[in-house]
Amino acid sequence: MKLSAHAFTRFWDVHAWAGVIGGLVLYVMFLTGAITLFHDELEVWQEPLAQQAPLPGTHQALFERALAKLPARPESVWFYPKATGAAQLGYEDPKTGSWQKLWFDGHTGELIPERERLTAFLYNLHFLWHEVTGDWLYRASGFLAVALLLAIVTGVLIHLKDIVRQFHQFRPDKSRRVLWSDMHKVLGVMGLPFQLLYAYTGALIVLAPLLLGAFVGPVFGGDEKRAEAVFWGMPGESTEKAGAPAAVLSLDELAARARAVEPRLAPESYRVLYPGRANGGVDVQGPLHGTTPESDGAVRMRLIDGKVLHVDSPAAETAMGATWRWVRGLHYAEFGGLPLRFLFFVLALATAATILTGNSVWLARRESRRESPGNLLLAGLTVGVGAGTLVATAALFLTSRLLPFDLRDRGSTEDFVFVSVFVFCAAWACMVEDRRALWWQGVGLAGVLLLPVPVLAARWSEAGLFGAGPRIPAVAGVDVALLVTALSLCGIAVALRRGAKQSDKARPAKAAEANGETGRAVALAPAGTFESPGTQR
Amino acid sequence: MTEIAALLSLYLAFALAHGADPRRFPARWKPTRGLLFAMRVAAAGATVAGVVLWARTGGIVEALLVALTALTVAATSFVLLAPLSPRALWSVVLACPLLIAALALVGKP
Repeated sequence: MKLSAHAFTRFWDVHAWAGVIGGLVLYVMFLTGAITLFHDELEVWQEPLAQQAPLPGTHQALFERALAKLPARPESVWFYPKATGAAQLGYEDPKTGSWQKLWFDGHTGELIPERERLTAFLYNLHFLWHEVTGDWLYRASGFLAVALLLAIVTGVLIHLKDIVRQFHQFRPDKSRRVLWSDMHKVLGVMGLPFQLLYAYTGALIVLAPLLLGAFVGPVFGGDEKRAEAVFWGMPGESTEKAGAPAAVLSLDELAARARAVEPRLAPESYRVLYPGRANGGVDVQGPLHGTTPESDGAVRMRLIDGKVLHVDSPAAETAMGATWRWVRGLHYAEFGGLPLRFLFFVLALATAATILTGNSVWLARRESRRESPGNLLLAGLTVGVGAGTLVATAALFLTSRLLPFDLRDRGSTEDFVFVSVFVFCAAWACMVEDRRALWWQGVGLAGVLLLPVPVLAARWSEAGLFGAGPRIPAVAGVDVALLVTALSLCGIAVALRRGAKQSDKARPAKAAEANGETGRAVALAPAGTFESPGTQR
Repeated sequence: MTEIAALLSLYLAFALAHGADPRRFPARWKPTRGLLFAMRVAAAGATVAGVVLWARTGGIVEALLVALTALTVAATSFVLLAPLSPRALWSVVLACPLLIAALALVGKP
């Protein structure tokens, strides 16, 4: 199929502008999303309390001990007695309304506020959320996912006529411009199913709740609870009063009853409303084994007699619930185990590279307008954000292992380090005139910052690669991954430096050919991009 | 083990499909139509084998999803790396049948 010249130009413009405007933020989202695929392992790695041997005893006994340490009994509390590590407790502070998350150190009997935020920060950055910025940036990430969808569809349309050829075409021996263009097309075409999947599910996850509000009135007659039950599969919590103190069933008994109702449920955590009260209830939550995708399920029961109020599982779900389970399951890679997450990790990095090579192609096509402020800014930001995100992430990991765990505002300090390094890199790249060296310097710096992290991690944990104690697979695995990433980044920096040097040697001759026109254009994009300004698109 | 065998099978599938083109053979080699056809059939067979192997551990829906993902990763890495280090990539392809058989036998049914 061949498009008309007019349609081709329009689609090309939409593809390029959608990519240029949203690309760099999407790059950060994909990079942090790639790391977030290993969220569970990182959570264990970052916090020594998560590596403790679990205490013997019932869940109910542990829960009672933890509750007794709180200044006041909360109305609703989340309790997560982990199979490995200290138990966790979460509740909404009645004074501030903020969500409090605590560790219950079973050995000392102390409640310790959550102190390490590295994983949570990277996860939140993936969808542009932070306590400081609130919801609006998060919503913007949903619209960025729509922009990505637009860029993908228009990208397919403009390459439709020769998409099969571009499937297999990569010519590293040609000019750098052709190389970036080929890479952009190969990565874009091969990664198409993955990018479509993430753009679509990402947009739905962020924007669908907004749509719910629009349907509550006309479809559910203003009944918000019924709308939520249909939409999420689980009705909202009861609005009944707590009732009098009463003898209630233990969490262990309730977990056993939940398993009897849904045998695939592996109870992991509890959300208890009005603990120890007559009108109290509990959601027994956990993964549902043997489902694709591996979703979480829950059984809601009364505390006093264990009467089942609701079951959230594929067997009892609505069509909407099933759709939602698939959307989330695909987006969070809840199938295929560790091998699938590694594959998704590679594809997420490939998508990040698609975005950067797309920007390089854009700059190369506008070589005649290379001095325009817009192009200079885009060139600076492409290097600054591209390499800066790597440097800031490496600095975040390093800070997380350097700061003492009892430091007040430890989490905020880590956030501050990431943001300042990121902003500095972006600003620096926009200010310097010759950006050719910035790529290898940035990538190399990220590698150097990351290199000591596994060794420093042994300060806090004996379960890692350099620890003296028995190894925990998640902790040792993250150490190995960090070491491999650091060495890979250093290797890539060396290769980029070599490429930049070769391109420097070749440049005077090329410049002489082009009537003495010298190199600011070359400084706009990765080294060598403008060696041969051919007619390749 | 079975999962790795499935992933190698899908890598083999893409490599064979990619290589089944006269332009991708060394200049002095003249592949016959029969050879190219056999490579395509083998590629299809390797894809089916990859899906079947994964389905032994995770079910058919999961196997199909993983196969699509593995094929895109194999394709991306193969197309980008083949011009840079063809020998390394094709050596892995040659070792694949043996590795797949060994891993499938060692892995749990």
